[in-house]
Amino acid sequence: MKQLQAQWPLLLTALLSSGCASLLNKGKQSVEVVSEPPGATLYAEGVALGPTPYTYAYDRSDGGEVALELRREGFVPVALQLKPKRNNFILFADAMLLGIPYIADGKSKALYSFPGGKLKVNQYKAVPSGRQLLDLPVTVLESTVPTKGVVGRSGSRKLDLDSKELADLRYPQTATAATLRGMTDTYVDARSIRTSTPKGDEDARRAKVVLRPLLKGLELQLEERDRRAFGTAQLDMEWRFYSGIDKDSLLFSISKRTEWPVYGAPPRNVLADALQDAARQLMDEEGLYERISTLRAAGLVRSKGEQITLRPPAPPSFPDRRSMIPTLVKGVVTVEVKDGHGSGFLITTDGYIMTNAHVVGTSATAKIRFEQGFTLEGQVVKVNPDFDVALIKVAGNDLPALSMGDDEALQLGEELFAIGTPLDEQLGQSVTRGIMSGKREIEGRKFIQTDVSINPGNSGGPLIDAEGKVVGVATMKIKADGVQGIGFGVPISTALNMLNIEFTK
Amino acid sequence: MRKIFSTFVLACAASAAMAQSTAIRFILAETHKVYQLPKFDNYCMGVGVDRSFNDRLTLGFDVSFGVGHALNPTGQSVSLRAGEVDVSASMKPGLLSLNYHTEYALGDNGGTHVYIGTFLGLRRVTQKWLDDGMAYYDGSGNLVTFSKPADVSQWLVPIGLRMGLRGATDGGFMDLYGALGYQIGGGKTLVPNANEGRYAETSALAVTLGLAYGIGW
Repeated sequence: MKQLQAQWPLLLTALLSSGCASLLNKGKQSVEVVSEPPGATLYAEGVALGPTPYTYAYDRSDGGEVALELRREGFVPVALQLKPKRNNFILFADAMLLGIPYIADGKSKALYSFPGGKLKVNQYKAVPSGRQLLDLPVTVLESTVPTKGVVGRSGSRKLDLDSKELADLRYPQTATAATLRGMTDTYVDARSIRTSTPKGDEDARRAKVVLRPLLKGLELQLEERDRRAFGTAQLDMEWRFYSGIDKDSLLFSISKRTEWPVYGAPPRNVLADALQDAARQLMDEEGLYERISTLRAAGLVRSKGEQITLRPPAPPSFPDRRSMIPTLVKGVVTVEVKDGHGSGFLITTDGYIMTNAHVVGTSATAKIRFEQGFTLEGQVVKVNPDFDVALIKVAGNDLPALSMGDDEALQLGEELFAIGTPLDEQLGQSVTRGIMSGKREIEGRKFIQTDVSINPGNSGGPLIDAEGKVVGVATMKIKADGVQGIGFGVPISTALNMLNIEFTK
Repeated sequence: MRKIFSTFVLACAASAAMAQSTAIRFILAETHKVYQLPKFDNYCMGVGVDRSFNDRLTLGFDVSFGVGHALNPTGQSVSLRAGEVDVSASMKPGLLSLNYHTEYALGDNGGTHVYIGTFLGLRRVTQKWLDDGMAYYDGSGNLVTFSKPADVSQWLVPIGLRMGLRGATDGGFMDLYGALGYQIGGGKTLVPNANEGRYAETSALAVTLGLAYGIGW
């Protein structure tokens, strides 16, 4: 004691000159960065530091964030913003010692520390280039986690579904949003749908494959420091892929156990972060893209229905170009259903009429008004809403059918005519003219872009080339302020293919 | 590679504000206990400068002057014991206070907060006796002259704890503070024959109360 008494001026001098930080907080300025899988290279401010696991030592005295990045060939780079915690107790000690130690502490990196010794980072595979974005509706996350069970600990606190860490499970939409975030910037266009609603079912049908995530179990081992969580969150997920056409038909499922390293997250974010990670890890599953693509393609083929073999009509004869359009309008009809009308055209002399799926809607029959003034009752034979084409049959013989052209051969700037019944049935068989503006692909579907006037009621009418042959089905136009002359038609080859129509030779 | 997948790791959100700022403070009212008696009778005003190094730690220096006594030309009436008779004499006390202080804010010092810290001061206490000479009649009816006490001054070095409440105002702040500590040099008798003890002895206990308005940038 006497010795201590004798040395207190020395101790006080040491404290005041070296600061409190180096005495109270020394050795906590480093963090071990671990990547999963290991072997990534850690960069700081763009400079390579070394392969992981790498012990990064904070070497700044301003407490500012450090931008680290994990890079690895074939994986998505992970950016890490590391902000050390300032030890306010040191500032308090400085203040209580008349601020003198702050002369040293203010410049000391030891004023700051990292709360955890190990920072584990999951790295995800980069999406290979050339993949098409797949439409993937996702239903609300389901859970079979027992509502009363203990699912882990945060320090000494038991965690159950009432804990703040699992709040998102009480709001499944929030949890679902987290899974959707995990699929962002991958090969799927994931969006939430509600099944058993007209819109949800339509989205599912269009996508052909629907993801129904199921949380089967979870285990959290956490510690909370400074209102931040550290530890691990393990999820047992079953990713169930259902048919979008046959609602309850399970196509395949993937069971996956994932571990999310929690480092400095607000406790309420733990589950959402873990779900996001689990969803992103699912996207890395070998062969998943191919499986979804194949099922989607199979679904599209199913939309085509049974093959129909038709006899091609003889090309309409017209002595000169002047009489071409007056001859062709005879093969164009007005399609009337209870909700309105559209256009259509005869593709065979025995009464097969092609139109748009959105013209017939859900109607089983349609009234077909011909240019010659008579009306026939038509049966809707086939509808492919994915490609917006439909086939109607009326009874008849020797009807004035149009002949099919070659949309592939259509050149940019080539002349196109549209014939249809825009706006009002009184305007039946109106003819407009324009050019082929481009060939487009929208959401995986091919379109002919044209500046031919396409107005409501024109839908389903033919787009005809300069030789008088049908090259497309007028389908839609862009309708917005200041936009003019941007219309689209389904190429005739696509329309025939998607209705599974085969012409005999 | 579509996009960098970003993970944002925040070890501590509380230390986000690292504002450094300097402020000038105007001490609107301050009083110090420098004598055993009276406890607080000096009214001081002054100016100071504060420097915040981050959202927690502030150091400051200020100087204040006892304007209450300085503006009173007749001084304070002090009762003195002269032999067996009490006499009254006029004395002008003076006080100059230099103060260095630290503040540790218990919340973000960018807003209203309570702080705690320490202070170290230097105080110059003076007494100037105004009456040149005094005379009185003793018990036998003789007129006796009495010399005024000599002018005195003393340095005090207060050190101790300081705490306060600082509230943000539009473009500035108000600071209500108090300090308690030990006054090195206190406890010394300045006027041995002070009858009621007023202004007789400096205090070893340092107490300060004050109110300041500051503008910062």
